[in-house]
Amino acid sequence: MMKDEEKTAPEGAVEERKPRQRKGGRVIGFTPSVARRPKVAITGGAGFLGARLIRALAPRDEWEIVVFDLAPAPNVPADVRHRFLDLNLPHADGSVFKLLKEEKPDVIIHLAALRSPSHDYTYIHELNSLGALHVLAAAGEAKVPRIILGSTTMVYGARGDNPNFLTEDHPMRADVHDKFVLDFVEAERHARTHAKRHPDAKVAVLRFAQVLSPEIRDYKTRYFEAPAAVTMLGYDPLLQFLHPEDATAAMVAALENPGAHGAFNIVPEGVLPLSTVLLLYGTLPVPIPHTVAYGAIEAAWLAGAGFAPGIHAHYIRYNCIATNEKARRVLGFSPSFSTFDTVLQTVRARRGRGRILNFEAIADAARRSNFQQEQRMNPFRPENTDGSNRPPEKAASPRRVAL
Amino acid sequence: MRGHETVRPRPFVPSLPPPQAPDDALAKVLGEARRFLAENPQFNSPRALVDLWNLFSQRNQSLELDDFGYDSVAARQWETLLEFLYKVWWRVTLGGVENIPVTGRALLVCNHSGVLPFDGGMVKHGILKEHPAKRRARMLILDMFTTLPFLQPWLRQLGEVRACPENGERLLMRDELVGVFPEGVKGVGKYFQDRYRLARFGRGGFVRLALKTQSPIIPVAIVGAEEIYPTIAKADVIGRPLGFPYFPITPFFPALGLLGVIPLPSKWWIDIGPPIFPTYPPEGAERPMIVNEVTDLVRTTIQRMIDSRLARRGGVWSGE
Repeated sequence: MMKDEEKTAPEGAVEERKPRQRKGGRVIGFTPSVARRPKVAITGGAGFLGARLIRALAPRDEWEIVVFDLAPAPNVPADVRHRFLDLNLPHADGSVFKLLKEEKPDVIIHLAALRSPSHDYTYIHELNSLGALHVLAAAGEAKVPRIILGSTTMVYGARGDNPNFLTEDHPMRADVHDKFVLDFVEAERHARTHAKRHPDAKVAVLRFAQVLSPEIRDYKTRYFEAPAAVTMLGYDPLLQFLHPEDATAAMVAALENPGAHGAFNIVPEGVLPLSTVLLLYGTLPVPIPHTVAYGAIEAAWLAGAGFAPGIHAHYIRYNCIATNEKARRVLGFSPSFSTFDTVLQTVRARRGRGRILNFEAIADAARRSNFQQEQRMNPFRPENTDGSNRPPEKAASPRRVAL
Repeated sequence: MRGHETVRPRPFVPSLPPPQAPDDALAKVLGEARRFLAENPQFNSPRALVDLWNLFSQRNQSLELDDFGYDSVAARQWETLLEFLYKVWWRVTLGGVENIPVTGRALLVCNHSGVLPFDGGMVKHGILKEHPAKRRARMLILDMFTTLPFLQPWLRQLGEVRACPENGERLLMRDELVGVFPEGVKGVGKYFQDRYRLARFGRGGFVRLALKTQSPIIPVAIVGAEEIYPTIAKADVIGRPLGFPYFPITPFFPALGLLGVIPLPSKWWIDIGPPIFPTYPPEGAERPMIVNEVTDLVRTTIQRMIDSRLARRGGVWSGE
């Protein structure tokens, strides 16, 4: 096969650059000066999270990176190689297998997924659910020892009887009619099956909270940035938003942790109610009774004016917030930005003319809120020699003020 | 490689002095925005008006929620009403508040009565007002209330959380004061003739919680709340289709319409008993016989406290 390639290569190209023979993903005739670095294959490496992961990973020089995607990753160093892969073809598993045989990666990070609902349901299903299936099937055949799968906390489902903080062992109870979320659930089920079939393989599933930053344009930012947003009358759920830098840090942490296996919630500290998020965005809430809201949102979606199918409105009705304790404990993940930080940063970046909010005062509130959150997380004060969490005598504690 | 961003782990929050100001930032921002618009009318725009409207509608909310969503500013708004109900309407006498520790975890176990869960609010308000450390108990509430419109955000702002083992464990591990009503719907929905007879205490979930977190159980007996809505009948024909667990019929409701919703002004006693410390290790939570034994102990303790208060109480309304 390689000989054929040499024959068909144009003459000019051969003169410009020495012909590189590929075998098993290594360049023949080139002795690397450093020891062989572990190799990571990133599917969907040209996407938002993938490109950020590459840009975080490449300067460390610890990993050899290869991207499996439709297009090369933007703004990445030249030694990040790109291999074409279309996961939407029915026999994509064969293509993945061929790539894996050639590249022999140590880890696959599967990030190829669309994170907004689409009217083209078939496409999104083929990519998000079947794409994961193809990658896992090929990884099983190629005996790739580690797989990291990007998922979402939405797989838990927004339900009235959720505990306030969902842990990884909570069942995935997304609404069965919410096809968009169900595709992520299916991808996770494929990953579980894979872990059962290949007991030696390590399969880590990273359940990201909704990622929010000024650069992101997806269904939730369109919902927040519209002049008015439909809300559920009498409901004000708590939301979590993850900063992309934290998402990247979590992926790096999972990559550098060879034993990472099972699901991990990658979520920030702190929560914000939907009403406060809309206030910060400067969006007019339009409360509709929940009995008609689902139908109205579905009608808007079918008419092409909505942001998500009606059933997805569960997520603006009930809580779906998770805890990152396991990721902290096992991966050493430690988010740098709270939900409030992330939303405020996003909102301030897009603050246009006409806003009359005093963002400085709100940023102060965010800092106070973060401080209180930190105190809740680390209640044991070093100044108390008896190991109690009694507030210090001199300084006024925030809890006392609040009462 | 230059110019590419790197992920540098940084601490979660920069070190800051403890906040001094009360957290009603939004009310202040609203005041500033109003003054700004009054002085600079040229800034009037749809976006400014939306901002103004959002600020106005959320002026009684805090930006500094805790992670369960407790909103200190919103909760403060309701204290006047609770104080009226506590001092004037039901003339609550709170006894044994010294049994609640100043710091550290504890599980309040109360009897449930009255059709609407006013008793939880009164226990919470009483402890907040009369305990020397002004501890704010967090009540674990029925699933039903976390799914109902208006009640969901309101109870969340008051600091209540849904009753489930995960939430209770998290709060207790954080050394908070947690209140539970193990009788649940069976308690609030009992007939007037069954008043002050404790219903089954669930399946002992609260005991598992206490054993797992090694928290003392503090029995609380509430007397007087059974009389606020004397349920003489239940109309499941109306309640079930509406999604309510029961639809009570009292001498005044639904006959008097909205007037019948006003709870009767009985005299209340809230007796807080001495804490029952767990004598079993956390593994006891996995042994149903032990759980049942402790459940029964707590149940009989509360029943005895109720009976002794009933024996001493005179009239239902005056208490003399």
